[in-house]
Amino acid sequence: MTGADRRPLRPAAQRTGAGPIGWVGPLLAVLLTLAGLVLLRDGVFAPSGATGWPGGQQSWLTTATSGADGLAPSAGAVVIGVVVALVGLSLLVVALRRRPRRALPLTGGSGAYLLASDVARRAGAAARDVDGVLDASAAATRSRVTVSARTTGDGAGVRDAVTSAVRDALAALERPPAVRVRTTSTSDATDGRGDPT
Amino acid sequence: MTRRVLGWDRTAALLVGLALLALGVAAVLWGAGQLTRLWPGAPQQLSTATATDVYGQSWWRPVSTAVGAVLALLGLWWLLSHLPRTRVGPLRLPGSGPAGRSSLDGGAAVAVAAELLGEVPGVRSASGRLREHRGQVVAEMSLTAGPHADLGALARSVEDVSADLAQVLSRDDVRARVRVRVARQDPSTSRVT
Repeated sequence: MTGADRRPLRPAAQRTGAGPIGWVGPLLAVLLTLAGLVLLRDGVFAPSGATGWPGGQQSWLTTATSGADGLAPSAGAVVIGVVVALVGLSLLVVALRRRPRRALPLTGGSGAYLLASDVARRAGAAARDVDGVLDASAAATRSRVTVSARTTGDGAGVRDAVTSAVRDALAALERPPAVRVRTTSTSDATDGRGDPT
Repeated sequence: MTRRVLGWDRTAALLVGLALLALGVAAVLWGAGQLTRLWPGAPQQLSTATATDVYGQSWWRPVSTAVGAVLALLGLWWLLSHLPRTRVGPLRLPGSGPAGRSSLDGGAAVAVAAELLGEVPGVRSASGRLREHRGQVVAEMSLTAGPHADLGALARSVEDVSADLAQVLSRDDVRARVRVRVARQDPSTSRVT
């Protein structure tokens, strides 16, 4: 093995969630298929000449449009119009929305990444390792980790220790999220407020 | 799902959305009796007589059949193109030519790389496969690390293994993606409080 050639594979494009377009697209495809089938059915079964529709059948298109025949302006039309416009607007939003980014890449450009939930687990474990922390849990987004720690006392000192421990643990992320730590002290709880257990 | 299919999805959603928005706004204006301000000839009552007349024309039947068939096939094809196609065949290696081909089961190489990742300290399990994703051949690996794993060391190990894999595959166009999971609990060490 030559040392100079040892380069990792280039990272693939970041993994993204599909977003709502992931099911709206297939839904539109199904609707298009159904519309085509209605037209096809009407075309195949339509009477040629004066024979009339076979077997008491009717044109589905006529059935669909005859409901609107003779409608006059009313409050109902306004309500339906509002609903239709809102559906159209939400489709526009879905069409133009970016796919959600979820990955937090590790440094080094090897294509390794964590999702926010895994970052939260790592942060929680780092917080639990700090002296004075009884228990800790963490929640994370791509930009922020929030650690809730139960401590034995000395809130500010432990909070700083937890903050730096979590920062260290997540330092290998390409863009480490901001760290926020909330501490609750058990001695506070036994001093009167909260449950005494 | 390829980028192209996603483009169709977005375009269709955009067009249908615009059409519904225009229709809805028109219905609101018409229902409130305000549409005549924009369109003096707006009808006071809806009539579907024109549509019914069209359905009765002699040319309607073949046109409806043909357009319906085309739309149905198009919709079906569009729907089916959403199915993921991620299988990757044997990779052709550089040096292949008329005299002979050399190819490699890339999936097996990636699986071996994943096994190596599984032996890194702090990593509990790992797996890997080769798949196609949005037009790229991607060596996709996944590993589960303990909650106390050193992410920096892990990143370096991944780079090492990836470099070995790059040498084995010896193709520039293969990309890598490594999902790092973090296990919930550390089963081996119980904490004394």
